[in-house]
Amino acid sequence: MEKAFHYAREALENQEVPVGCIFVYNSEILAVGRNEVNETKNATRHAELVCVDQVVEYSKAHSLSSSSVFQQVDVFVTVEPCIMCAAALYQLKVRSVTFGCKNDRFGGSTVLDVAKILNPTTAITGGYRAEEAMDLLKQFYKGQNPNAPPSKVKKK
Amino acid sequence: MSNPKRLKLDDSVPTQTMVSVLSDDLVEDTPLIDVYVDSIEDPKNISKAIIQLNSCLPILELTHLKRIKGRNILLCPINKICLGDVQSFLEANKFDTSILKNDIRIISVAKIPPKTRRQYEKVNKHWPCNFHSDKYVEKLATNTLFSSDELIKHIQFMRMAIAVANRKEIDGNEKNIGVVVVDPKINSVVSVGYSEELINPSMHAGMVAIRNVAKTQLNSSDSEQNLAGLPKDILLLLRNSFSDVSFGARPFKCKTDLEEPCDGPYLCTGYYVYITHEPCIMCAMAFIHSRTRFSPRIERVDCGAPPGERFLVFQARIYGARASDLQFQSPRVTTPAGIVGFRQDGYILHLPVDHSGLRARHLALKRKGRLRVSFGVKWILSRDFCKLRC
Repeated sequence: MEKAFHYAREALENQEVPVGCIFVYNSEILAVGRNEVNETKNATRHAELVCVDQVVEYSKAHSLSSSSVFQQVDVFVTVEPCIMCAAALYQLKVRSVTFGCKNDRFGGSTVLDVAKILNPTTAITGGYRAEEAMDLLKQFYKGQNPNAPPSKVKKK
Repeated sequence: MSNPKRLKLDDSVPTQTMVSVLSDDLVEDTPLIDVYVDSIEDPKNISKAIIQLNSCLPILELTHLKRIKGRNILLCPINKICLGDVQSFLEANKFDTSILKNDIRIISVAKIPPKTRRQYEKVNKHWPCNFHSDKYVEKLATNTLFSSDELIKHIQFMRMAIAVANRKEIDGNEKNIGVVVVDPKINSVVSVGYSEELINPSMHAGMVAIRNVAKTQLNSSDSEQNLAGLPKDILLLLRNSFSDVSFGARPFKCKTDLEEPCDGPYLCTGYYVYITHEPCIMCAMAFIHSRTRFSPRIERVDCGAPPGERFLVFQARIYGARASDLQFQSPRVTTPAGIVGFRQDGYILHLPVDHSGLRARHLALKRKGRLRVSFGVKWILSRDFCKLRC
C-alpha cells in the first residue's frame, strides 16, 4: 500500500489526478501504475488500467494465460476504483481489491454498486489510510486542471 | 389518384421510429405524499386563508403545489402533525380556523415536481401542480429529439459501425463489435473501435475507440495526425463504402493556443459514439469519463450482451446519480441521463443523452442571477463538462 501511495504522489507531481495502484501476484509486485489521463489524452488511462496492461505484457513475456494470472492478482489502490475500473477488475476476475478512500463521484461501489450487477468473485475492502488518500486528492483539486479547457462562464 | 403532397412528406421522414429509454425518475410516475386538506366555507376567504397559511404553516418541500383546489385548501403533509392536532396547531399559530369547514381529510399529492408532461398530467389530477416543461426532456420523452435529417445521419454512422464490426479482416475469434466516433461539429469520423480482447482482455471495442481518439490529440508533427484514430485498412474500407463522409479530427490545440475557450478537442468532449452493441459497464463509464455527448448503440434485439453485463438502464442510473457535495471539493458534476433509440430491421439504437439535474441547476443559476437569458440545456452541459476532470 505504501508503494501505491508513492505512485499517487508521483501522479500529483505530474499534474495528474493522484491515484496510485499496484498489482500483487504470488507475493510479488507485478505491476505499478498511476493515472496517466492528462499525459495520454485518454480519459481511460486510470492507474488500474495502466496496471492491467502491464499484467498483459507480463503474461505474454512469460507465456502465461493472462486470464489465469488475473485470477491470482491482488489489487491495492489508493482511491476506490471508479465504475469503469471496478467493472474492468471484476470482469478480469482479480482475486481481491483493497482501496484507500472512497470516491463519491465515480466510485464503483459508492455511486453505483457494480458488484451487485456483475456478481463478481472478487473480494473488495476499503478504508485503508483513507485520510491520506483523500488529502492527496484535495491537494490536486485545489489547483485547476491545467489540461481542461477554460470554463465558458465569465467570472465577474 | 395519388396525392403529391403526401408523397413528398413520406420521402423526407425516415421509416425508423424513435424509442427513448430514460432514467427511472422520468419514466416512473411521480411519487406521492399524503397531506391534510380542509375546505373553506366562503370562497371570499380563500386569499385570506392562503396568506395566513403561508405565514404560519409554509410547506417549503411542496412549493410546486398550488395551495388551493376549488374550495379545498392544502394544510400540510401528514408526517408533520397528527390528525387530531391540526386544529389546535393552527389555532396556536393564530390561524383563523373559523373560515374552515373543519372537515380535515387526507389525500395524496405529488411529492416532488413532475419532470415530464405525462407525469404532470397524472399528478395534476390529484392536486393542481406547477409544471415547467423542459423542452429537451420533453423531446426525449416523446421521442422527437432528432429531425429527420439528423436521423438520417445517425443511421449512416450506425451503418458504418456495423461495417467496422463486420469487416472481413477481423480475426475470426475476436468479437465483432464496431464503434465509430464522430465529431458532430465538423461532421467527421474521428476514430473507430473494434474488439482487441484476444490481445488484452480489457481492450473492448469501446476502450479501443477512446484510445484511438487519444492518438489524434498527442502532440506530434505527423501530417496525418488527424487520421491517427483510423487504422489504414479500416479507413480504406470506409472510404470506399461511404464516399460522402469526411474523416479526421479537428487539429488538437494546447490550452494556451486556444483562441476561443472550448474550441479545440479535449478528450471526446461533444463527440458522438456509435456502437453496435450495448456497452458493458466499463466501456459505458469510459465514455462518460471521456465526456462523449451521446453514445448511440445498436443492438440486435435477440442477441445483446449477456444480461449481467448490459448497461442500458444502469447507464441512465449512473448519469442520473447526482453526486452529493463532493468530499474532495472538485466541481459538482451533472452527468447525462437518458437513452434514445430507434428501431430498424430488428435493431434498436440507443443514445444516452445528458439532462439529469440540469433543470434544477438551471433554475438555481437563474435565481442567483447568473443566468440572465434562458440558456438551453446545451449551454449548461458544456459548462459542466468543461469542469469535469477524469
